[in-house]
Amino acid sequence: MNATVEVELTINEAPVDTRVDSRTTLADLIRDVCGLVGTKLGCEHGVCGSCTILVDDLPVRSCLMLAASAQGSSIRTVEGLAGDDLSDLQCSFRDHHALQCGFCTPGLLMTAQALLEAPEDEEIDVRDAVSGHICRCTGYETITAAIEASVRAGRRPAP
Amino acid sequence: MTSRSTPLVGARLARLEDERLLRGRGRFVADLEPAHTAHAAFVRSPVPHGRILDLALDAVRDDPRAIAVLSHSDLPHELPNGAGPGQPLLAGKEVTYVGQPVAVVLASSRYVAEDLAEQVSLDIEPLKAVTGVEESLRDETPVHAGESTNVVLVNDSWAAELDEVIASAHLVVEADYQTERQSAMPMETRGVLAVPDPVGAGLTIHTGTQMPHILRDEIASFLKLPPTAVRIVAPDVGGAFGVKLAVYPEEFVAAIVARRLQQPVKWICDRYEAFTSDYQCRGARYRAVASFDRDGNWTGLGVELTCPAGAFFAVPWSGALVETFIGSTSLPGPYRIGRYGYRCRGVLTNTTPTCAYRATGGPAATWITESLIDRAARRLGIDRAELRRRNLITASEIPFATHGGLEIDTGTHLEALETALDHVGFHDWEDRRAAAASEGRHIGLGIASYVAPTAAGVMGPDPSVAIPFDSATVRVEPSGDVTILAGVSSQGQGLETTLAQIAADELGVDVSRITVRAGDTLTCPYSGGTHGSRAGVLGGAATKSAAAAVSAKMRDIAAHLLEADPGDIDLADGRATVRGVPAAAITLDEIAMRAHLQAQSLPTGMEPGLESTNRYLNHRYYTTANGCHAAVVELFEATGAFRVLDYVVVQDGGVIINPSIVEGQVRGGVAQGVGSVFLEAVDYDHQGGLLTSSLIHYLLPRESDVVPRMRIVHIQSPSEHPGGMRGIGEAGLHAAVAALANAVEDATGHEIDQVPVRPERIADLVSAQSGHHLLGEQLE
Repeated sequence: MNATVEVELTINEAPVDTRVDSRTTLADLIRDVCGLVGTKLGCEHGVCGSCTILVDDLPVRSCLMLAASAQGSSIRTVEGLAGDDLSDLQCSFRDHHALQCGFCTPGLLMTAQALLEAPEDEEIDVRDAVSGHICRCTGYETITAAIEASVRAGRRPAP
Repeated sequence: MTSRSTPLVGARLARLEDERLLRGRGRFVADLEPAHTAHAAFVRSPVPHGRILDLALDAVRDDPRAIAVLSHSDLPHELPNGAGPGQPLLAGKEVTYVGQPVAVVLASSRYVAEDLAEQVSLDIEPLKAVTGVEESLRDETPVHAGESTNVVLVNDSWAAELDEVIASAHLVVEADYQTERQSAMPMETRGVLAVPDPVGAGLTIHTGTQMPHILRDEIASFLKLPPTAVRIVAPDVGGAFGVKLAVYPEEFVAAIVARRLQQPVKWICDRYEAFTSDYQCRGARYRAVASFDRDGNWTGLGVELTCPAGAFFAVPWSGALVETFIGSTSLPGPYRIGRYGYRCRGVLTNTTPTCAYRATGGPAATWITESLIDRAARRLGIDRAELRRRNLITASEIPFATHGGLEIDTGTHLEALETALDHVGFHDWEDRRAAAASEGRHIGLGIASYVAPTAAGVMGPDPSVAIPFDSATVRVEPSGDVTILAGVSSQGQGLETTLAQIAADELGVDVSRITVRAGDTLTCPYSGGTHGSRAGVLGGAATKSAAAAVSAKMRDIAAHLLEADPGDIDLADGRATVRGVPAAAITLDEIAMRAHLQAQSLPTGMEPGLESTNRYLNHRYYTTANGCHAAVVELFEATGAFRVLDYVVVQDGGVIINPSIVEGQVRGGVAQGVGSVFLEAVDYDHQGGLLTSSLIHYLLPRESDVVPRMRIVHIQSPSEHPGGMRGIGEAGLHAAVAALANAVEDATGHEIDQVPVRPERIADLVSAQSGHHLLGEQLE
């Protein structure tokens, strides 16, 4: 009944080559097929931002994108941010108490990561970027502070 | 006695749970999936009220992709229920709200389960629906066909003396307030994974509940199993705010079906389902009357509270119960009021059932009290701050028993008010507003003094009200590492950190040596759960007491080994030392090792091991936290938009374990207040159809809606409980609705009787303001 489609891409630099239902969302590919459950589904309507990932360095709501549309792309998720130690951005979130339940956090981290990697001449509006996400716990102030501190500490090009 | 050079209680410690959450290694229910999991999709009622004529399941049952398809005839059970008609797990003859489960389909993936659920044919003959509480109260149309009344709760305290006080008063203020339906809307939706035990009749249920033990007991009793056969695990939980307190049909269905199929059953609520099936809150009406004498003394307060239960009276706490109970408890606020009375009604409606939402009846109660005193001030010609000063409970009056049943033991109400007024700049406020008005801007300042009932204790003879104690086990392992098995579990409150801070001070160990485990009924001691600003107070007190018992035993062992008096032993920085004898010392790791592995070296008769469990009982009705909020808002005529320009919180929450965590709770609560006053409403049409079914329609506060820098001032009057905490989880929301609604009233010059005040209303109010601020009786 449902056609399947082959999808070949990388997630956090690891190659993925799989066949999924053509209707499979990118979020479900990441979570259910690849087992990277750090990416969270909050609304599946593209409103809350919890499922934000980077597709070829740009923030994307993975609930609104079909896995098939990501063919050939390079994807980064929250699992790819840290090495042995947390990244500076993640440390800034911890230092600023920018999370409570932690459910919206992976999406916010990926949006913030894209801000940090934006070209030096591009103007950054952290409040505006955070406004694209819903956090029900924190009241946002510490999230914005964490990202602003990270931006001040230095923007860096995409790897 | 204690324990370390620099105490950890009071420190802005980074949270211990953050690393896993920041790495994407938090594990929420949706993230768990054992092999051979069957995924559930529910067929739900599309109408608010109707008779089921036909439910055609055969075609779906014949589909080879269907693992199971069940309806009421397969699961003819009812949920445990507090009052009114029984709540079927799956509707049988009649549906009574949009979203009520009618059938469940199990398949190998959620995609397939939803495909199959869509093929179920459901024929319903519509019946008249009742959506509003006042319409329900009239009892003209039954919410459940054939029932004689929609009223499921009556609780009155209004006596003739109150009527007499009002009749003879210098000033009487009457008002009719209304809150619209809201939904707590945590970012992680509800979900359940039920896994049958490989041997025996039992099962493990992973679910984001706020009350694992109470859910365990409910499900075990329902399944006629001993509670030992049911294990509830609440893993990482993505916010709850009360909506994950109730016990829901989906959890029971998953438990039964998993046992029948002998395979794991998983259901994750999607956001659309959250709008129809998450139990909602508020949607209440309040008729209030307040009386004052010539000097502004508050002589009488009477309120009729009418709150919806929705279609069924939820367990353990229907919104109809807790909105009226906490509302009537909170209404007198921190004021010396001559007479007080209430009439509470809980009514059924053809809408999703209701339960608690952070502070529950408190936000509306504080709004009503603080609105009435503002209105009285205008009518009396007394400054609104001054009228509060005259009526607030003073330090010399404590302990003060309010008419709401609270025993107030803090004397910081005036201090909180004055501090908030100073910070928000109240002294020149009228000038500032006038200056803004001359520029065509509409700004307003709102004040809200409040007292919040927290950490409910012994309520009376009815054991179903709440568990009045909480528990913790503190265990030092042979390595010297510490395990805390907490009764209370976290939905984001940071309890892994705060409980560790408390124990670290008692034990004199570094916090990195402490691991907090919670949310698992197999391993953790019995708990009333995390709600009602109780986890820090009662869970913290239990943790402190258990850690103190272990600490005392460690000192006994150290004294024995060092040949000193236990009273001379200090535990700090991972060592036991003898006061005044710097050379005499032993590491806590050594004590821990000896307590387990060389038990023969312990004092004669001492039990090996280092472990204590404490169950701390709050023998009082409630504890209290108090304070004052001040908000400044600007309203925009052209767009009906709002902006929060300034927000000041002064709060006395007792001893603060971690200021950053407390402030996070406050900011989050105030943001929910912004949602409550300006944005959030579950809209039903007059026939009971649900109009808000996604986060596109139901607006949650975003970054641009909150004040960029909230100012928070702490006062710390220790409570009587070990640790001295008072409970701050709800205080932000408890007062924010009042402060913001009063600010709107101040900005528009129009009395605000209904929240939220959405853009179309703001635009109307502001444009009707006609340029200057109205005062006193001129108000509409």
